[in-house]
Amino acid sequence: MNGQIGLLKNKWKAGLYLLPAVMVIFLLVGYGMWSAVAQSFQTIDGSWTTNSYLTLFRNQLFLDSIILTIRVTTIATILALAIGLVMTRLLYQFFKDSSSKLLVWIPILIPHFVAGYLVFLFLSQSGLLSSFLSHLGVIENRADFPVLVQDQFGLGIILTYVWKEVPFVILMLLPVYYEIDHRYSEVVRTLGGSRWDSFKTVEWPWLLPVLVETGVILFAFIASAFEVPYLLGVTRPEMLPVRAYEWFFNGDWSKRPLAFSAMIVPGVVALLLSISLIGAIQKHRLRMVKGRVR
Amino acid sequence: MNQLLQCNTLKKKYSQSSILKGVTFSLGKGEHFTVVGPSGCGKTTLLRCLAGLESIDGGDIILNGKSLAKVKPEDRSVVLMFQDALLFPHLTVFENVTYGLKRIKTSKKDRIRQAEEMLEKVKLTKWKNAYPHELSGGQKQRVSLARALVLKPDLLLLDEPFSSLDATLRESLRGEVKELLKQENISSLFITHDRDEAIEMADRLAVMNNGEFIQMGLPYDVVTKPSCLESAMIIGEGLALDEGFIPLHELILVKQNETIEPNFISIPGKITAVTVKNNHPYYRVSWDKGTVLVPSINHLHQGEKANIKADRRAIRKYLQNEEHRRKVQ
Repeated sequence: MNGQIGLLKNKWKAGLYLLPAVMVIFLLVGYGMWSAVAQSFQTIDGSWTTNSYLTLFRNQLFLDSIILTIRVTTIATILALAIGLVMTRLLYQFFKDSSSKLLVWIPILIPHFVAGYLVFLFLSQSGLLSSFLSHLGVIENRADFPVLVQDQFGLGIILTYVWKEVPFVILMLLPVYYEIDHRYSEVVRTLGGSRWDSFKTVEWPWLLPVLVETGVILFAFIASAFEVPYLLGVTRPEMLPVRAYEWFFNGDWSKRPLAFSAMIVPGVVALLLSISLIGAIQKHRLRMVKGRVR
Repeated sequence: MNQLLQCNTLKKKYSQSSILKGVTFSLGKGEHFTVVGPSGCGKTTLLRCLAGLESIDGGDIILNGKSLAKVKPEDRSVVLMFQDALLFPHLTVFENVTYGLKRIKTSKKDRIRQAEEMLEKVKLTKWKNAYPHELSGGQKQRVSLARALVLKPDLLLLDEPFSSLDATLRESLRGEVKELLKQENISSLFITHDRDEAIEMADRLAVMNNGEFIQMGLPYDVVTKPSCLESAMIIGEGLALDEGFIPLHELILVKQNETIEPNFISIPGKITAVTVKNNHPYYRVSWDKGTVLVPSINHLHQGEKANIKADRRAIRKYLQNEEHRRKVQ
């Protein structure tokens, strides 16, 4: 009985301690979210309607933006995950030494906007690399340098996010590599499996849940980030957050519901994606955790 | 018996420290060879070298007349069973058992048939769709054994596979495994630091110490006639003295004040525990060079001082070290 009262007291105590944080999240983020959702379903004079969503999906600017956003986000996420995985696989022994880890962490410390600017400085047609190549005589003049930033494909944006997010992927995967029981790889080899079989059977099942979660985080982040696409994108088509920004600030006030709905759509998609993917891998993860030897 | 494996002066070093110092032995087809030795004596390294998980620094390993020195682990007809079952946690029992067959490109039909037969033999048919976390420790080791045996390797290496199980399960599984190995006619090299396990699993037994075999022979001979003091201390069932070995059946524990006849030796000790073996009380006696389990006709108590008594004629002299080592190698 005393134990139960103690537990109850502890719960209340914990609740009390968490209250300030919960209030801040609930009031600021929660209110902001609610306000955005509400405004996306309202006309400028405050009456409720689904018009902004119907208009949105008939709007060519939005459709072009969403295609670009999905393409850039998917490519950047997959490349960051793949490069991060390969680098972790090759270097996790080396990264055990904490000073060597600093090399990888440097891009994490640089703000996204600065990273975008660095990509611009190095890879634009008037940038350092094109100047260097033209000095060397590899290209006749700077205009011969391929358009890598502020291009319609979004290559500059992709490059920036890949450079910025690879260290994040490494940060997520390193603990997994340290946790893997590498005796399983020896089991695979003595059962006739190759090194590739060992990766597939031993490492991949542990990496998969973390890769899925990291992928969802990266996808949601890149799809909704503003500064890099604003700096490195072209005027048309633009990434969705830039399109929403323009509707919010540059158009008349009647476009504001469109701006909100343009951001809520990918938000909802990201939410549904995370719920379904994380739900799907949870069973696999539990099986792995329960079945491991140590 | 046809020769299956020949190890010639096998050497292995880790950062200038010699782990294997020229191990030489051979193994016949269908033979069950056991290596016993204290922790850190090089047993596991020997198995890892045989499995190809460690390179060798000298000597050669010949399996079926072919050198394995430069053959990758996956290309050797050798399977290693580890201390832990190490079943793949995301695969079912059935998938675990068929894992190796899939790697060697066995057809699906044959995979299913062979795995089902093997699961039948290890009595786990009804668990075939279970995941490893749903099995007990003993069941996991059975699956691990099935996974290894289904490949029908020329040589099965067992690295203390029962050490993580409780005593009762360990004893029952020992018998089952030996039976199954005989049925499948698979040669095995079993390593352990458990004396009972070593004796029970072996057709032939080797005692390993400090990176080399110090004695090799039939289990009964090795246990009752240790060739040197180290061997006596590792495997001998009796009292290991500097001048020779006295088998357990020649020893008796007497009270401290009991008179000792002139042709008998007496070693003072203290009873640290009392146990029951073969329905008789046995006393764990600690003396200045170790402990020994001895019977007694007296009723004695834990903590009591007593003497271990034996006829001088029962002392079996050790073989001369150099002469014996040449014989072993």
